[in-house]
Amino acid sequence: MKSIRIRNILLLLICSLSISVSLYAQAKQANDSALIYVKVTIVDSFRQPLAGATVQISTKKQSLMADEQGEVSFWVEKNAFVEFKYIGMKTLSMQITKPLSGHITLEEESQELDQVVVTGYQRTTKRRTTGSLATLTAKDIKGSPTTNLDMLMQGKMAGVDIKSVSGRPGQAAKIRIRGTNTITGNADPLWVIDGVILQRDIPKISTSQVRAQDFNDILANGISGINPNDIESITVLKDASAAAIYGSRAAGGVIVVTTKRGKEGKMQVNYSTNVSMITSPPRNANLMNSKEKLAWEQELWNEFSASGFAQKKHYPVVGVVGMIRSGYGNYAGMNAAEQDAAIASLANYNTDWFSELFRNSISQSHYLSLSGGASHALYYLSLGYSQNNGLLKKNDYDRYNVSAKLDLKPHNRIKLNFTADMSMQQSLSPSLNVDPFKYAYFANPYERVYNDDGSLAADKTYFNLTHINGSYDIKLPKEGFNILREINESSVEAKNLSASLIAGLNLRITNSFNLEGLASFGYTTDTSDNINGKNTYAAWMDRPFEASETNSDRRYGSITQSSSYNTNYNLRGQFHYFNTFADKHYVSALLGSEIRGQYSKSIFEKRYGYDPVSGNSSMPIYPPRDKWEYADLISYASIMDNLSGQSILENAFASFYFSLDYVLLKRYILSLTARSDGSNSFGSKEQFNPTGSAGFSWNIDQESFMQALKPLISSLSFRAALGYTGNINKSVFPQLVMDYSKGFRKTHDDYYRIGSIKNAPNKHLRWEKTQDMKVSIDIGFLNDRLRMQAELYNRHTYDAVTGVPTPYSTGFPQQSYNTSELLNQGAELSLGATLIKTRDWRLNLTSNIAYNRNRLLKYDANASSWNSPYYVGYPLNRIVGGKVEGIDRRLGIYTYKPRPDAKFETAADRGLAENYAYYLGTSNAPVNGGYSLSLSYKNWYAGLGGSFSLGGKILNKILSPVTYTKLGKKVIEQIPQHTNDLYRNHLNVTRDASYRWTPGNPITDGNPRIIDAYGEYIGLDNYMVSSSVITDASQLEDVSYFKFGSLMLGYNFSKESLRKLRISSLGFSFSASNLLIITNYSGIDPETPGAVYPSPRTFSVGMSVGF
Amino acid sequence: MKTKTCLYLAVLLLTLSCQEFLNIKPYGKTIPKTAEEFSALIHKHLNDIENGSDRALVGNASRWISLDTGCGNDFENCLTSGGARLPIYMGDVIGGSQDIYSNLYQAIRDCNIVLNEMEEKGSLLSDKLRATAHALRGVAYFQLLRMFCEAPEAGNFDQQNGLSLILSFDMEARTLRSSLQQSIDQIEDDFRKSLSYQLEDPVFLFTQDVVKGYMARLYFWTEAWEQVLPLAQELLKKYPLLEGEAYEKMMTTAFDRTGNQLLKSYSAISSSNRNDLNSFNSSLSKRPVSRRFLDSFSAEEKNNDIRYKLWVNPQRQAIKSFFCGMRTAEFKLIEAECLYHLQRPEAALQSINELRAKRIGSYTPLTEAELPPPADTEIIRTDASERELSPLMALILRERRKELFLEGDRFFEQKRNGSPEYWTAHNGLKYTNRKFMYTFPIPIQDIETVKGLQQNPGYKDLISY
Repeated sequence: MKSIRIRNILLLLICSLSISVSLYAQAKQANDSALIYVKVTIVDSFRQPLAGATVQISTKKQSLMADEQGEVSFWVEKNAFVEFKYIGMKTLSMQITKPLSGHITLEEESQELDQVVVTGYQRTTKRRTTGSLATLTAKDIKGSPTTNLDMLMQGKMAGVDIKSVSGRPGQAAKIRIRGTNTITGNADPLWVIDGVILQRDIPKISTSQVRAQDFNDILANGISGINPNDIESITVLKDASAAAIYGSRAAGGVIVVTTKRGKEGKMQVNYSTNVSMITSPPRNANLMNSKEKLAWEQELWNEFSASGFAQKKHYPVVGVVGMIRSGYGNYAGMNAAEQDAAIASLANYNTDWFSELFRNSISQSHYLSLSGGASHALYYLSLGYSQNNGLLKKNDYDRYNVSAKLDLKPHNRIKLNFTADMSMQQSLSPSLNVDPFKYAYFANPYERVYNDDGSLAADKTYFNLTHINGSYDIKLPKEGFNILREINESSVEAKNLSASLIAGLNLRITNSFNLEGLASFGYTTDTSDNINGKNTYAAWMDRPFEASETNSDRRYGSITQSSSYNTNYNLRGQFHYFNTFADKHYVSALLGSEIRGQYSKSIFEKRYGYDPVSGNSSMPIYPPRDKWEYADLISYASIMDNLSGQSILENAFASFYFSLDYVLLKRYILSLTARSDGSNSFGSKEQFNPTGSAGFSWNIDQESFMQALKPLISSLSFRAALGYTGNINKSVFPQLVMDYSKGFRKTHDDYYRIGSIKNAPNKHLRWEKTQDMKVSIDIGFLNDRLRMQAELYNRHTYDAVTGVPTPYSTGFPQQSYNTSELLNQGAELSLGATLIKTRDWRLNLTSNIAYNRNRLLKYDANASSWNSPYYVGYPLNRIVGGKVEGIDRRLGIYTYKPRPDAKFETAADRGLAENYAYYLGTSNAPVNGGYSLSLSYKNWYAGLGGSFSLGGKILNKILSPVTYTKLGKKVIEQIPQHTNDLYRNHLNVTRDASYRWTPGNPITDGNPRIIDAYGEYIGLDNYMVSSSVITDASQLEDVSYFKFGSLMLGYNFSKESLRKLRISSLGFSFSASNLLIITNYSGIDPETPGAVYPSPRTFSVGMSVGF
Repeated sequence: MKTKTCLYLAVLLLTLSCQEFLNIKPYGKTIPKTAEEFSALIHKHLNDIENGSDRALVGNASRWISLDTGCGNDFENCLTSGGARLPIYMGDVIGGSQDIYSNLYQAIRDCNIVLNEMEEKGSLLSDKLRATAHALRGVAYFQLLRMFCEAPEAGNFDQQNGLSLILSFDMEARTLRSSLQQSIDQIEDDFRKSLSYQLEDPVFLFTQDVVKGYMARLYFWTEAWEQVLPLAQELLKKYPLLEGEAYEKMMTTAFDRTGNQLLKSYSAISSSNRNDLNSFNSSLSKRPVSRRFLDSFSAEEKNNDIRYKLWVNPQRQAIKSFFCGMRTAEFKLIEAECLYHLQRPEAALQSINELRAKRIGSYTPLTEAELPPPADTEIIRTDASERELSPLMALILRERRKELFLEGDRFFEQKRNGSPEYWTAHNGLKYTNRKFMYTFPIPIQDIETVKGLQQNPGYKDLISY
């Protein structure tokens, strides 16, 4: 059906292009014999002759071949059919009724005018839909060494904002399609793999002894098991018209992934491999080195501590210089020269902690596929292996995939297809309770990894700010803390095995009436072992049997093991009717129903006193004590109770859906969709929620008045749609629902269940609804060498569930209401252009840009204060703070612009945060996009691609783990913001920290003054606002960036040269990813701001061979 | 074929009622209907009390240590180094008061749900639940009354502000404050209703005797001397005062309920609350016990009084095992004070002598003439009826201060007896405890969401960030 349509369109095109040809031909009409002479030159769209093009005449067995100039001539009977063929070009077929000469232009195969779209429920074509879709094909994601499916999609589709959360291998990215349209619910898109809605949820575990982070669920995210090489296409359904058929979970958009299946023909074997080198990210944090840090500490000692120390008054101790000068611990009793020597010797060591944690590593991937078959039985089999070593030491990720597909046609009315997929994933990482990236950022450069004797050195400064300043001591194991010991002696190993079986049936009852069915079953297990070695700090801090004995040095490690499984199923049956009437009306209607459900269960246990050698454990008891009480036994039992347990999740959905597409004269398209879902959540009566959409599309290029413009405007469609999608907010219920606690109440002879009511019920609770409107225009110029798609949308979400503050006297501080309204408005523009197209050269550019404006229209939380993250008229995730006016020359601190409407009547008004609060921007960048540029010359090709993001803001608070507040004393002076804090300089800071305001050198273009919160009272509070809500704004950063994401260079051997080797294709490629970022952001990676796992830079070489 | 079967099955399933299919009960959740199910709500609060998580009903160390150290004049706040978790003065405590308010109303909410939504009646379990729910609700309102209403002024209860009384679960309720009298009546009514079920089962903690103890506390707080006396005496008879070793054992047992303790939090302490308690004890060791408190023991008592030895060490660090709950000594002190206010000074003196005899070795009862005048350092200058402190009343209060040291009583003792203003110094700044601070503010959220709800005096200006 598809090919017929394309052929028609092509014919139409050829007709218009060959007007000159036919005019010329008319002159020779006199020669009215049975044979007609044809002499043509076969060319491509650049008029480059296609040497070797073949001509197949219907009446002859043999075909002809064009010469080097693309010319061919022959005699043919009248009314015979002739096919012009060339590899990589679409075959052109025509009936010869009169003599023919001139040029025959063949179109490239890839420039299909119409794209097949898979919605998960049906296959259709882009020009027959009214929804907003974005499609990626295997070609678009080919060649990139990235193993994660979500990151492969980054920057490739307008309006699909994908941001990595961290550079950790296997980590899922955050995806937002056309903005966020829920306040408290889940805004993630719905994933659909080969028609099956992904449901592989695994219940979370958390007790007082087993924390959520001990339970490793990195692999539980369902899409991480998919091998990108298996993917045929990805279709993102962006608006209600496209997604409404998915009903209640479609509010965040739908991502439909279709995997490759067998193609008719002899067996094709393809093998590809990639070897990548992972290196450190392109940017660094610009921290001080040893010499700089020691000099800086000395400067601070001279300024803040020296005189106080001499006079035996208050003196702050900052950094190792402070410790040495004040004679702390081992440094007691030194004279000045000895102190200088001690400091000088420290300067000999300079540790770049990032490079200690990071490593350069090699990763690889292999992929083998076999496919083929005859039309009644097609097969596809693939095997994949991918290894992804992380940037962090001891962090890697492996994935194995097996996939088998079989398409059978036992009868010409029956089609059956089967898919069996299996994936295994393994992830290994250290189990740390000190964030290694935060540690690398803040650890002092003069601290060492190894002692001179090769043993692991202890960090002398990271934990001791409180003790050196006369406050409490943080007790450490006697070897002290070393991040490498933590990395080496702790581990989290997670394994995930997923298998799924899908069977599909297509029963053709009449020529235009099908019964289609789909059944799937999936099984996933997820296990993890989390080991904290006996000597690690992580184990030291996790000693529930010691905590009451603060002096105990006893230590014991632990292992936390969890094992989960998930079974899920999906059954669907639908009637599909499609027909064309009177060549004018095309109707396609679907009516179906679907049930799906999942059951999953996790069991976990934690054992203290774990011995990794024997695998056994020796549970500690309390250390000896003078007096024991019965309550001690109870509290011991409560520790034991919390060490093991289970968690179950079960849900079920039933849905009915309907869709109708009506096409009139191939131009006017109307589509209607409706769906109703029910789930097993409480109050399921209210939850049979109808959603639906109506869309209209107009293929203007099909109109007769457009035909004259065809050479210029080759395609033009206009679409408009309106629809509704819904979202169930699972966290709230209309009824009074009691949750049972994990623990029990114990008495001497029995135990009792404990329950609590977590959320205020609200009987008026409804679904969240989004009304979605859009208009779009698709236009192609010059035979679609330049293609453009522009869309405008308006998504109005109402009944968004919001926690509204209620009087405490009702017993709940808040109640969820369907009160809020949100608006997402945006524009998207995609551009595709073939800039150069000659026989040898080709240059393609595609780019997209999307703008989204998110705004809260209504927020009925009556205590919504000016600094709440939710405020009417502003986007979600808005940032509110002061507008920095600069550093005051006299005071040395940042001053902030007063609001024009602020009243300054009393002294207190000057310190009132409200008087300085401005809207500063949003952390969700409003403009996002991507680009890709590909160039090919003969067998060479090169590609450059990347993404960009504009207008995102963050408060760059990479907050030091040490601050004045840790000392736990009553503060004398309020510290306006953290760069003013003297004590944070105890650990490492950025190089520019020393360029600052001082009374002697009142500069205003650097950092503000440094203040000792416990030192002299300056009284800055009297001059300027000190509320952090305002002052944090001095750390406001723009995280706009332009990323050169990947660069690729490749060579494909030509078919002729390979023929002798009996291989059909061979190619090599080199690629580099995360090459360069252009940004004003001061940290490592603007995409993942803060001290987090950064995305590495990767260089890889790949080879692909086909037989 | 398998697919076909599945498909037929699917179609069949769909023609059946979906209700069946969707009837999976979410795991670990329920809509409570039976008494058994409702009991989980009650056990939640009882469990919190026992494991030390309850912050306001019976209270835990974090709550009462704050009040005792920051607001009791029993510690040298000006000499504190470290111990950041301990407040310097009342102003530091007020910030956490909305938490108490919210916690207590959550307990009231659960009681209301049990009392109103539980249909089961007359069964053994449902009666026990109702008795406990009434008791808990009464206790919650009583605690709110002590903290969020001003000290009762005899004869003025109808004019004084009481609490927002909420007796059934209703999310739409926007209830204004009742009068103090109405609040007192409600609490009394709850206690009476609880007593009517004659609960004896110790599993439910709030047995008849405990409820009577609370009733005594209510009458005592509201200066209903005549009503409180018989109750206190009844309990004293049933749970006589201990002395010597028995007393020492009771007071040094940190968790288990022993001796004449009627109610005790921490009796089944959880490991995390034990850690919490430990860290409070370590903070406490950084703040010396005040000279004023130490001098409430005479030179002789410092040697003879068992409490001196059990409460503080020579480094002036408090070493008393913290107690939250109810024990008999309180009723002896109530008895003495009642007798005094009922114009029976001899009996009052005798009562207080009886208590002292149990605490002080080789004790000779004090006579009226021997009574020392009130100490100059004592900040309480007037008694509950706003009369100047007599030597006898001063003795009673002094004994109370000593006996109930670190039991969360001192703040309320000051509030009840004239709410005196005084200041403390810390790090060169002066912190003043004002009279209005004895009554905590109604949380801003309630003031903003309930139109016309009256705030307590002194909290006019909203403090912004």
